[in-house]
Amino acid sequence: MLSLENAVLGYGKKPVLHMGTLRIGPGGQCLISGASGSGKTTLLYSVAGLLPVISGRITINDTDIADMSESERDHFRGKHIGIIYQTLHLVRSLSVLDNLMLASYASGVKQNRERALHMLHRLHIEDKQDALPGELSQGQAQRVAIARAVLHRPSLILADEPTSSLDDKNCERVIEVIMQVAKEAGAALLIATHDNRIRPHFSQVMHFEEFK
Amino acid sequence: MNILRLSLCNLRFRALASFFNVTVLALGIATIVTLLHVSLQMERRFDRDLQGFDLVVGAKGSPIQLILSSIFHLDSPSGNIPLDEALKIVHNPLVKTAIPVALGDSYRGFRIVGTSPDYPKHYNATLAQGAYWTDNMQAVLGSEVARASGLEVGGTFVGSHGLTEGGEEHTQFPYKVVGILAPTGTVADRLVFTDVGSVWNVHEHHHEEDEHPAGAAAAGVAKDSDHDHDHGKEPPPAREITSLLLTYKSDYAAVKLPYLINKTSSMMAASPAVEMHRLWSIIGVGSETIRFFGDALVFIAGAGFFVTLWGAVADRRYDIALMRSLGATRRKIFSFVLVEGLTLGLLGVLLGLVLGHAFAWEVQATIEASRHMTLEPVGMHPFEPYLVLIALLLSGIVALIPAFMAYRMNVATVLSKNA
Repeated sequence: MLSLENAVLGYGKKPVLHMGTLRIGPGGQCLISGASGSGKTTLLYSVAGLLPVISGRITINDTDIADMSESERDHFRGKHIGIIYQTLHLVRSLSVLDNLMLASYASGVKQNRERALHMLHRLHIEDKQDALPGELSQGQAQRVAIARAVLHRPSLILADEPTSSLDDKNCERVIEVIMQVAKEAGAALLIATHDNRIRPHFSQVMHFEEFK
Repeated sequence: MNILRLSLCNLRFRALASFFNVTVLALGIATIVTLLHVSLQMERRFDRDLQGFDLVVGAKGSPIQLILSSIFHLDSPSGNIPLDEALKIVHNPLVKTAIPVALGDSYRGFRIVGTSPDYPKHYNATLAQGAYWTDNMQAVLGSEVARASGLEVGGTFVGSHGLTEGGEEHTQFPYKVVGILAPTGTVADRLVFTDVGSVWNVHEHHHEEDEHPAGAAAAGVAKDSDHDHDHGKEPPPAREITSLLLTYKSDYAAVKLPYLINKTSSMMAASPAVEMHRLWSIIGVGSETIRFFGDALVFIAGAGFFVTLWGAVADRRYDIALMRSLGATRRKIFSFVLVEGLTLGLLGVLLGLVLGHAFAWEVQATIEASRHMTLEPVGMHPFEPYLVLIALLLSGIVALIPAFMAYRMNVATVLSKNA
């Protein structure tokens, strides 16, 4: 499903990270742990195609994204990868439902209102579909971000520190929801975090230092 | 979700800034549109009223005043000319047609013009009712006069002295309405036509009574201070008219006739084309100033757009980075910012056009009410499509730099800053 081979990653031409081999099978769930500044985010952004690969291969669904042009990566990401950011990044001027539709619009995927409403329903926030992000609680906003990430039934979901700003109770809830919807969507899950509370949920855990 | 909805949502979210920018642009556009409309209305109106008169002959004084008083009936005449001298001009072989104008009285603010039926006919006026006069003290009313007064053929009215309302009424000399003209869209609609003899008739008697106020007399046909003391001694007085409206027989007349009249007679010849051009260039200073403010507003709006869009792109760099991370290409982001600028521009232009047309209509109504001048709405000014194009182009150009900024944005850097 996802595999990295001898990938050299970094910002621009400057290598930050020399990856050995990483493989996640279909529906697999993997946690990358490590202190902040250890390059976890660089790995996530490279896998997402937001950063160009300096050398080596990153293969998602048998497609090597290292060879793709920037706009090809944009298209690929829009269709096959869902991302959950630490700061959520909801568009403030758009309603909850429109934030989901924006994901389809931006990626050029056919806009499916039913599917968006279904996801909101699944995450128990269907009554907030017309609310602006500013009117949501932190937990509600988090669920909108999760709904958006799985909207297109991606093959890979990436999450960057999804729980680090949450208390223990919410941390548990959020990680369970993410793992659950990823499973339902049949997506592989790659989470980068320094939050040790969620480690017990994962069978595949990689300490980032190991890849350096 | 589409690009327009996205832009509108963003503009709505920044409602105050959007509203301000749209309003400033709209006011600029509205100012220009109003100016275009009103000046075109005035120009068309003046062109219609000029309608081929080549030369106006009247008393020496201000040529513009002569044109304004004798053709447009907006100003008071500066004096009169002796009939025998006027007749010499009429019989000049260079003159094709000559229409006499004798002013002095008015009826409810509408001027009574002693002339020949050639005058209304010059404006292609046709009789809606009745016939032209065959005798003294018979009058033909312009359509607007008939409408405002409610007079019909067979009715009578008396003129009041002077060209504005409130003069002394010539109650012993009632006019009888013998005809009413169909509307022409020209000054003829607002005039009362009668024969020159009727005007003389009223004022000869009037002079004998010797009771007209000096101020009003300045506008009177028989008024001429040099003759005032004479004519009591030697009736009948020297016949006078206010002016002659001429058309030329040939181009040569344009060279010869004004010179001949101005140098060899006590009268003055003024060319409407030349004087109107001069008048427009004087009035033009005022309208150019307004136009300058209109242009300035449009450019302020342009600057406002720039600041707003720039701020929008800077403020929303996370939104833009997010859209990229959701799969939008650089080109999509670029066109999105551009469309947002154009949407803002389009809203301003549309509002500006609506306001401009409303203002123009209001100004037209005001002018009609206060200046005794009917104007026809111009509908769409020929320059308006260009104005729309220029304003949209301006907002597009102004949006280019923020759009390019968004295009160039490094998504990974912005997203990882996590502000």
